[in-house]
Amino acid sequence: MAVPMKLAAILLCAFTLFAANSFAAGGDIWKHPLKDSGSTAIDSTFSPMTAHAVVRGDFKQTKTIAQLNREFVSVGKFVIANDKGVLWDTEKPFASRLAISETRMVQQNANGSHSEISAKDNVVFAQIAKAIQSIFSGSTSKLQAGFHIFFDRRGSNWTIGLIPREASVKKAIQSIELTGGTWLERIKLIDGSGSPLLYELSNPKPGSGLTAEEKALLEK
Amino acid sequence: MVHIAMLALALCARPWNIDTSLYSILPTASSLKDVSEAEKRMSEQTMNQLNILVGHEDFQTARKAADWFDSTLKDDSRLESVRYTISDGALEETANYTYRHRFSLLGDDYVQALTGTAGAQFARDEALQRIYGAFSLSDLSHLEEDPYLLGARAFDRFTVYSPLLSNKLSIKDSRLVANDSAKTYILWSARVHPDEKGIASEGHVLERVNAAIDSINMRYPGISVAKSGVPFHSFESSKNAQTEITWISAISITLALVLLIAVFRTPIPIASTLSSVFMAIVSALALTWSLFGEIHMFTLVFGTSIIGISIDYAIHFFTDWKFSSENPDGNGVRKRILKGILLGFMTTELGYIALSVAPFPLLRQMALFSATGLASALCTTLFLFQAFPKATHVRAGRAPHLAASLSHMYDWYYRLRRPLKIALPVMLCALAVPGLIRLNVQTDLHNLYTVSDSLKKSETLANKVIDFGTSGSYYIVKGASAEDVLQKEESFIHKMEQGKKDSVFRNYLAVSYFVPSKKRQEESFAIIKQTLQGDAATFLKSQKFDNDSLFQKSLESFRPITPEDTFPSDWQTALQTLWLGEIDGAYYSTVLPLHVNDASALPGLANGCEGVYFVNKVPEISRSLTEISRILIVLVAITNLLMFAIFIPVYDLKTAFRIIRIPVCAGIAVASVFGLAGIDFNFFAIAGVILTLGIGIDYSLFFREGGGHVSTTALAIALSAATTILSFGSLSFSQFQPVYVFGLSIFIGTLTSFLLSPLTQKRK
Repeated sequence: MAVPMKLAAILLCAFTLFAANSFAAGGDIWKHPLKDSGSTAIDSTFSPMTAHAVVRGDFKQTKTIAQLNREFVSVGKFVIANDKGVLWDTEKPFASRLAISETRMVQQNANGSHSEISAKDNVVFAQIAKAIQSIFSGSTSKLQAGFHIFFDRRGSNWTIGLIPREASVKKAIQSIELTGGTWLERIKLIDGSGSPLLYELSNPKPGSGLTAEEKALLEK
Repeated sequence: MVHIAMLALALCARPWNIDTSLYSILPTASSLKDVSEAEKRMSEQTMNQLNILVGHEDFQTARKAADWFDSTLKDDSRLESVRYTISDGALEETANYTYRHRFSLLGDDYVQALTGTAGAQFARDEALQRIYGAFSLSDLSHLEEDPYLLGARAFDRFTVYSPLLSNKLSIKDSRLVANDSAKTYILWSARVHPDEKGIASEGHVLERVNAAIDSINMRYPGISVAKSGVPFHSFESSKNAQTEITWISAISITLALVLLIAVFRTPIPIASTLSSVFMAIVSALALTWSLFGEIHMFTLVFGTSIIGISIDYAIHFFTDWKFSSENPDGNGVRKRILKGILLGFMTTELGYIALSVAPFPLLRQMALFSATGLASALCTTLFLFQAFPKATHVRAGRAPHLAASLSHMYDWYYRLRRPLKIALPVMLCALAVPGLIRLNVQTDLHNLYTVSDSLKKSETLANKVIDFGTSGSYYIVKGASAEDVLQKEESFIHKMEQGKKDSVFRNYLAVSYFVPSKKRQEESFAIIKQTLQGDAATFLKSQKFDNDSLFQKSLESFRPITPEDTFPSDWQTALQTLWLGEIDGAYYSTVLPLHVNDASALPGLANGCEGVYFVNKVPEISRSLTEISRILIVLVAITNLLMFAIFIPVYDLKTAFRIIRIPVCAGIAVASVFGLAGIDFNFFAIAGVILTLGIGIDYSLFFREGGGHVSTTALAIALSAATTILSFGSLSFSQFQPVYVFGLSIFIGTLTSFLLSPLTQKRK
């Protein structure tokens, strides 16, 4: 009996370790493709996040470049306006702002430099902007149009994996992993060269609406 | 002897070049002639392009259909290239190229921002935004070597901001797609092999493309296919024209031969007449090739037709030979018809000499060709046919008598009282006035080609869905070397930028966007080096890098790019169209305005720019043809006056007037009918009038000189008119506008000349 008991204990231990490890890393999300029935699960996952017209919060961005053995960290504030788009205000170490809406992308930096790309003028941008915006739209159908979706839920924690359908987008974004509980907490994006770009989101709060400046950036 | 010499000359004149360029029509002074070869190359680049859109409400169905279409045609050897799926490696290829040549491809805005004291700070800020900004997907792996991320900047210029992408196309499943009216269209494009004939022929690749389009509709119900591209138009119009002209020619030639055989009952006159026409064509070709080096397509068509009137001399000869009761031999016939034929020849030649006065080389060529051809026909008739012995069976028969009744058809008119005799022609002339008032002397190339409804619908849909934004107008830049062209283009680009700001057009494409001049690249590099070389160490330290050795080393790798380099595959189609390269020692490129809003402002942009030519081919050629048409009308009038002046001493004033009124009335009749029918009196119509001028004079003189041989003269004229009307008049049944107009003009002119010519005969 001792041997079987011991074996059972080892197996149990191994299983527990495996499960814990999987969960800690967000699991191997790529083994969980979203089934047709799973779209309602994603909708319910997103619903707390999309309940408010405007959500504001803080973010920390970590860009890891393996070839240089370096990490580039920046922090700032984000605004997600449900039906209009997203706005990323990087504060440190270099101030810049990025606004993405369905029709355009606007970039500004501290030296007053301003660039704008219209979706109708550029195929590649239109695809990438649509992909980024769909992540924050809370719309499963929009996500499905641009990505192969993977989904895994453990208790109140969930992970969504996204792989772009379009080869051209895949050249810029290989994959995206979203993880969270009641709200989206982490976005891990693997760029075209294989370097990870990690966003840690914190202090999400419903906002009272967009400022005039924010509206100008998102509503044109 | 002369003919043998001409044959030898024709053989020596090889290669027998035929000029098909519409630019040859332009007057010698036209500046566009300077770039006609470049335009031709540009046309060759764009004229072989096919675009097919396969659409359906369901993308997957559209994709299946487009995949099937691609698999059917992609290996066709007559297609030089096929573009359907976007290569996965295309973006990477562009990224590698733009990184390698980042110092050359940054664009003027960026380089200008580097000048001045804040230049280095600007470069730092731009780089820091890429490093720390949100969702910046710039590749940072080369940061030590390229700390200011110039490679990423150059890459964005050709991916994010590229004018190549300013259309309605997007990418889905590695295919270019566009949406319209709830349907998703997938683009399939190809380039027809340059060796493939421009016109429809057996086994033409367009036959297979059209068959595949037909099959796709049957295989995938509900699918929409739109096709666009010049080859479809050339194929359709030439196919229709060929079929039609083959039928018309076959029927009219058969009828003409049947008529001649029925009348002559012997093949000798027919064979001799045809050999006379053949020799006329060979002589005309030989002399034109010898003097001009080539012959224009228009000269060939127009001139060969003119030689057709030389058939009249032979018919006139053989009618007299065969039907005259005096049964003369060849020499005898020659004596009898000499004066009429010679006068007809001289006056017609005079008309051709008048043509050569105009400042259009094409008209001079046409004049030489026709004058030579006609002279050859005259020589054959007067010097070769005279050797004919007497006809063995002189036929009186019914034909001459029937024809002779033609000479009596106006007897009633001569019996009228003088006031009525004057009033009747005046009234007839008055009838022509409304038509002449409405006459529109204009040659518009647009009106010469009628596109079929289905192709028009297809083109409209394709333009709406794809919206490439190109129009028929563009600029050609000419220079002494590749570098010279690029420098001239760069000077011109300032004006294009202004045009863009002024909303003359939404965007534009130019070679210098992809390949700046060597001078510009070196100047830019000097600014980059001067601004950043000293700043790099500090900047890299601020980003926690040890030193700037990699950056300093990278500065040594600068090498200017040239138009002859190998470019990323995504750029190749655009560069093939834009860079025309070396032609006859000069270099050329094109600048394409896209999505033009104000076409009237386009020509002005080239003003004052050395070596820059605005090209808008269709209106330019149309204007020239209209000018030629007007000159031709004046020349026809002058020729008539000259003929009149010649006839006065030969005959008398009254007879001269009687003779000249026939071609004048024929010309007026043609113009009046065209005016009344609202048909443009264009180049082809006037060419027909010139032809009938010779015909009218001949008929008129033959009747005048027929004297006592009324029946044979009338028969000769009736046969000439019948063969001319059958051969050329039948062309008025053509759907192909130039042929229709030419045929109609000859039909009216010949008929009028034929009907009025008995009025010139001597009355007892």
